Amino acid sequence: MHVSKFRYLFVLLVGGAGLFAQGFGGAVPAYDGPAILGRGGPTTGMRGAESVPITLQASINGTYDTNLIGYSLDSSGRFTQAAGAGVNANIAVTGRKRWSRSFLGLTYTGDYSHFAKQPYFNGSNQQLNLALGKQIGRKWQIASQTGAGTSNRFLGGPNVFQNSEIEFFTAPVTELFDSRSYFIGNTTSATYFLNSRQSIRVAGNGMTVRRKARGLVDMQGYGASSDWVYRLSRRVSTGVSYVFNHYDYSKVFGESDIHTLGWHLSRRIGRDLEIAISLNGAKQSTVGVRSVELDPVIASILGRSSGAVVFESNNLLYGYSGTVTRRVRRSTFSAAAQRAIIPGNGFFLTSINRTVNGSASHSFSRDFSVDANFGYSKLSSLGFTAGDFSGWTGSGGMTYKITESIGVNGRYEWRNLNLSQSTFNRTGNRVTIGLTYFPQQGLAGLF
Amino acid sequence: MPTVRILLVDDEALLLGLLKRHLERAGYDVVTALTAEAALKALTGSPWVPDLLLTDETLPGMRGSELAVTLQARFPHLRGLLCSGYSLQASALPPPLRERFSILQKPYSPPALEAAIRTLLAPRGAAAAAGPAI
Repeated sequence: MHVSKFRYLFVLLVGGAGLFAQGFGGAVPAYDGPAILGRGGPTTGMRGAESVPITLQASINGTYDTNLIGYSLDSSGRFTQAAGAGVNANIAVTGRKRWSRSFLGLTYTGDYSHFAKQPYFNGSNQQLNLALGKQIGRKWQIASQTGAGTSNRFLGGPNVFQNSEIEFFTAPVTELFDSRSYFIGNTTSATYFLNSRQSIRVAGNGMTVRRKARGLVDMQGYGASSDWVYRLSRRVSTGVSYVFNHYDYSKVFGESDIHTLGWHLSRRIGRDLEIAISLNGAKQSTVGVRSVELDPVIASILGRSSGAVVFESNNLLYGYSGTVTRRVRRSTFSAAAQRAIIPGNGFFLTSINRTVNGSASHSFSRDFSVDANFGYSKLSSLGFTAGDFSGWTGSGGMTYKITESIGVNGRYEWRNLNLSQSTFNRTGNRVTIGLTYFPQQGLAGLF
Repeated sequence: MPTVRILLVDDEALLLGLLKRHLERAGYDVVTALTAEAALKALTGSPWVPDLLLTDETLPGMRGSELAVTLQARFPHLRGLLCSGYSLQASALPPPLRERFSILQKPYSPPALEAAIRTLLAPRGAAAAAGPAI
């Protein structure tokens, strides 16, 4: 099928708008492993391996948050925390289109929020994930996936569409503050199909995270990976991978090299249950400069209370990831757990991150659906900072269509963030109620 | 335009490597040495001429300021930063260094280092103030 110039132009316009807006913070291009139906290529705009028509949604909401927290201190030296009521407007474009030898995947969400009495938290959040792929001959496939965005809120970004058909790019769950961050990352890969059962892939990636808060550290990184995948049967595939990542930090002196060897297995059980697991071992080397409290006597000689020491941290670490997805006719359940090395949140730099996430959604009818999500994350620094940063999140939402194209949506979110060895402990609740517009034609007509 | 050449001297090997890579990412041409004596040896017979000396004051053997005086006699255009954990004043610098050298208090952050280098190079021309090229 021939792809018209107009279609490419549209892609560039939509993609370009998100890239110029610059990106949210936190997520890192990750190894996406062997897959059952595909070969672990870009999954943007996909639910599992299925294609999703490119569609648009828009909503306007009223919101109330009990615990917004900025990167600032009040007059008594405590973190600035505020409860705030406001309004926000959201738009989302999502989907995936496949032509005979190429494909496009897209998720874009953008919002603007205005809080009545907390202008610090006003602003726009943007999030774009764009995947492009091309088959070259019978043996080769190249693919590129770009994520970019900007966010100024840990929780309560453009997430009112969580119960839609689309899985959005993973939102950051390790940020401490509701302060502005920017993110852009790209992974480009080439896959060679040895035969119908085996393939090998090489990929490279680059990323950067910029944080507006003066005391939070920026990060830039690059990496390379290769893997081999063997399809044991129609329902089972396995593979091994090697991944290298390098992270550099600005605002402090520090850098990390991480080499990871992994084994992966994906299995489909029946029509509706998918399981994917990975086990890996990593060699992590970090060199950096960290602050230390000086002995009072030394401090009086030097005229300052803190100093800096150079450190080197070398560790052999294990990691894992596992996901289980179950789809029943009107319901979807998924659970995931992961232990991985990540470049941190600007306060904790290179760290081990343990996460557990779960979600469930159910459609009672064509017009009424509900969903629930929970997440746990624990970040342990590998050298730069002492202690752990842990967070719990939970949310539940519903959408009820009052006409063919308009629905009422409501969402409740809760989170607790705790920094060990510190007074930083925040618990917040957020309620969002609004109207969502589902265009009947959407963008499908353009494709 | 030529790249600014920095001679970097510090007896902490880990810090030396970190600083070197950081400065190279910023676009500078960097040569390193763990001691003042090793720095002098590296420059002997070498066509590589430093524009800027970035050295720790407390080094085993020859001190950073002694190295700076020696090098400035050989390279009159040389500018430099003496890094120290002690609260040194510019007036404590040997007289030959006072015009073209500054003190950088340890610990310093990457932005503070970059700003100090830019400030030091700025009098040489507007281009130097804008970045690593001179």
